[in-house]
Amino acid sequence: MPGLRVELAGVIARHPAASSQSRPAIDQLSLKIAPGEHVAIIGPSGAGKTTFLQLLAAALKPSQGTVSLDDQSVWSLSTKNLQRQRGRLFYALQSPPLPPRQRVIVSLLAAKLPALSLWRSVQNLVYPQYVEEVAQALSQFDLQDKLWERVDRLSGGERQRVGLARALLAPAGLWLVDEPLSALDPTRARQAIATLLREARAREVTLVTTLHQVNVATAEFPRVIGLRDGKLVFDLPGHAVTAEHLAELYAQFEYELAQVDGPVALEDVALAKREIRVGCA
Amino acid sequence: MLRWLNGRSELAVLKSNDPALRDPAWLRRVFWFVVACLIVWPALVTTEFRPWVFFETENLKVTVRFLAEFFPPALSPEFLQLVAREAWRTVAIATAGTFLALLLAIPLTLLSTTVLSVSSLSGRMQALPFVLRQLIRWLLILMRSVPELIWALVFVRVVGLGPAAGVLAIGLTYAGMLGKVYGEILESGEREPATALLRNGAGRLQTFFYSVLPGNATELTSYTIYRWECAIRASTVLGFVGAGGLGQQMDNSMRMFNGSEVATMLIVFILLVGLADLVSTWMRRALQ
Amino acid sequence: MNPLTRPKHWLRPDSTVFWVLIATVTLIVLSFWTLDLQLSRVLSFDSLKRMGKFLGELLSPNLEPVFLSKLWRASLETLAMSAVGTLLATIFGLLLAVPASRSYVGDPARWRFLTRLLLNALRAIPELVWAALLLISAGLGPFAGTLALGLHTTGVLGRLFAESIENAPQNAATALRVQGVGEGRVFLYATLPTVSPQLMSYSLYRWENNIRAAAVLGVVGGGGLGQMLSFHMGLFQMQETSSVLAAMILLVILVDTLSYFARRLLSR
Repeated sequence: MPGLRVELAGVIARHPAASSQSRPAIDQLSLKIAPGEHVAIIGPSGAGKTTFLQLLAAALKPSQGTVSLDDQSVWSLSTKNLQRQRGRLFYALQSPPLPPRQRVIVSLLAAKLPALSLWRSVQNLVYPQYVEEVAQALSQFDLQDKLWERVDRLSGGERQRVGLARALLAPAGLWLVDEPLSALDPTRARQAIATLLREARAREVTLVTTLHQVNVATAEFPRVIGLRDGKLVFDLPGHAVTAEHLAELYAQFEYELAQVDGPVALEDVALAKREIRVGCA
Repeated sequence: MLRWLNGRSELAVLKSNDPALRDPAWLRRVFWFVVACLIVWPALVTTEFRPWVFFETENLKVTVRFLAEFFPPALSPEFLQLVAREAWRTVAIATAGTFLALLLAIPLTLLSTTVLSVSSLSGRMQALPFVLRQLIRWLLILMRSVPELIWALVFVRVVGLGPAAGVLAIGLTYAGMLGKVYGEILESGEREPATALLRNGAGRLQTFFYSVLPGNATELTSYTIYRWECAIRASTVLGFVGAGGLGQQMDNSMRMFNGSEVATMLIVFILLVGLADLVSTWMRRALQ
Repeated sequence: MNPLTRPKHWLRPDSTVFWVLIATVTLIVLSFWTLDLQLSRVLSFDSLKRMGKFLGELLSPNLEPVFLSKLWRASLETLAMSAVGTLLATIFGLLLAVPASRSYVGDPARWRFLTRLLLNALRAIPELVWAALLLISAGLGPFAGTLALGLHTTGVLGRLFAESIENAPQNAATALRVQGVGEGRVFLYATLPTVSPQLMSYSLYRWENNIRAAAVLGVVGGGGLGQMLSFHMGLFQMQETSSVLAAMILLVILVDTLSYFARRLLSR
């Protein structure tokens, strides 16, 4: 599936529950992402990183401006076409969206649903198909022996990796990944990012990730976007992000600058989780 | 077509290849499905499950005629007066029955709860108090296990038709239910205030009034009010075996295939239950 | 203010608690007063003697093999009634719970009001009343009893299921909706797997209630142990009656235990 082109023009967006007088979560944002690009979004809490992903996922309607996927404004499409467009997306939430008692294989197959007929979908619930494909995807994240396990028998880190592995099964041209490394230790985090980037490149999909691990963002991603208070602070190639840029971006939030090689601050995870709950209605 | 062929070839691959790729839960699921079918089929036969019975000519005629009489429901003033009177009777039976249950449940709870145990103040409870408490608990279970309708049948034989049988039936069964739940509420509440008083030499009843009751009052009253609501439904049901009230009138009207009267009473019953729900919510909120 | 003056009493006319207490006491007094309880007759020596004799006769159950085999069949019938009724209610309760719930915030849920109304109506009418109504159409026997249980329990379970679905964590469902998956498959792949342990638990718990209900439905003609009880009590055959009562108690204890262990198994 070739990558989607993404464009935002003059977008202002608020959380569904926020009043129209409050500060918008995304404030006058305009940018373009070419097909197949890998982009990392960094910024302190409340910067609007999750809201940004929700805009790209057509999960949040902007109060102003347009969001376009492959040169088609998402919100001017008919419902049927919008649903079809949605089938070309994959959105990995930070808190893995896996029903506790479901088996890993079914959770992964769920990501394939936009490409499956109704009959196949129901068949998968009873007798799972595409087992080899799922096993392959899991082995990329070193989880091949968890194929038939129940989700609630996995550790937090394993669940997060299962959530990421779903991307490899989705028939998507745009991967939107929210904080993929929050529950992973440094080694696994490195593996996960490497796998995501490798697979995205192989499939030529557009990858947009939010990250708290700033050094991973700057080291691995060819394009890094800094957001703060819903506004664009900088949009630079990874290697061009300097300490001054980061200092300006994270002013008064310095404690959030977590390093992938050190323990992830518990505060980061808690704050990030709060963002999710406020963001997803 | 191609997708179907792909699917078949995948199945072929599955059956021949890597054992790690075979669904370990599949055989187990098929087994339990077969077992379930083997149980459900005889159950359907035993319950004489024949839905087509409704469509046999005779039955259909009776049903249609009965249902047709539902509109309009009987609304003559004398009948409505009767229904109102019987509805009040139902509420009265429920209230009296719950009150009786309360009178029985309170001493039984006090006797069976470990919160007021003096012998366990010094470590383990002694044998005799323990046995006594267990016996009371078994008594409560027994009182609960027999449905109130059965009690009502028995009491109708002994004291005759009329509300007394209903009150006694509800009183006994609900005493068991109240006793059990009161016990659970007390056991799961705070013990320290009660133990402190007992250690300082207070009597059991004194401890009850000064610490156990105030500490658990909200939960206890909340459950009691909920039980009263259930009693209203129960007393309607008991009317079908002669305990008076709305249920008995409904039984009479149904035997005479008088659809319009039944319709009115059903509507009044539903309204009554709704009203009781409102009253109970008001009371529970007020006692917060 | 003088610290020795008493604060206002907690039970004074302007507190709601006061009025609740007054209302309760009034209700209780009125109930006893208006009911023609004939306590003097109930608590009379004669009546108490009869009760004593009655209870005495109950203590010697009939244990002949012929009778016991009839009892066994009636017990199976009652058990089957409760199981089939609960099973029907689980299926139809789930089918009705879907339109009766809002799957996500902002779901128009056009059928919600009507479906909830239907479920409330099914719930409000007790099983026995349903049975009496269905007997008119279906005739005597366990079928009417089973359907009565099924109808009433569908209302109860349907509402419980709908509330579970509405309160379920939305994570998995949101992820699939973002991918544009239709609501039906979102339900099968995300919502249902998330809430199904709770739904099964509700159904099993309801089975405990239904076995008691099934036992008594026979009294109005619904077959099973209830019908036997009503029959033998009508003929004043106390020994047989006590056997039936014992069978009922055993059956209730059996189902309570099965349900408890099944729920434990499910939550492992």
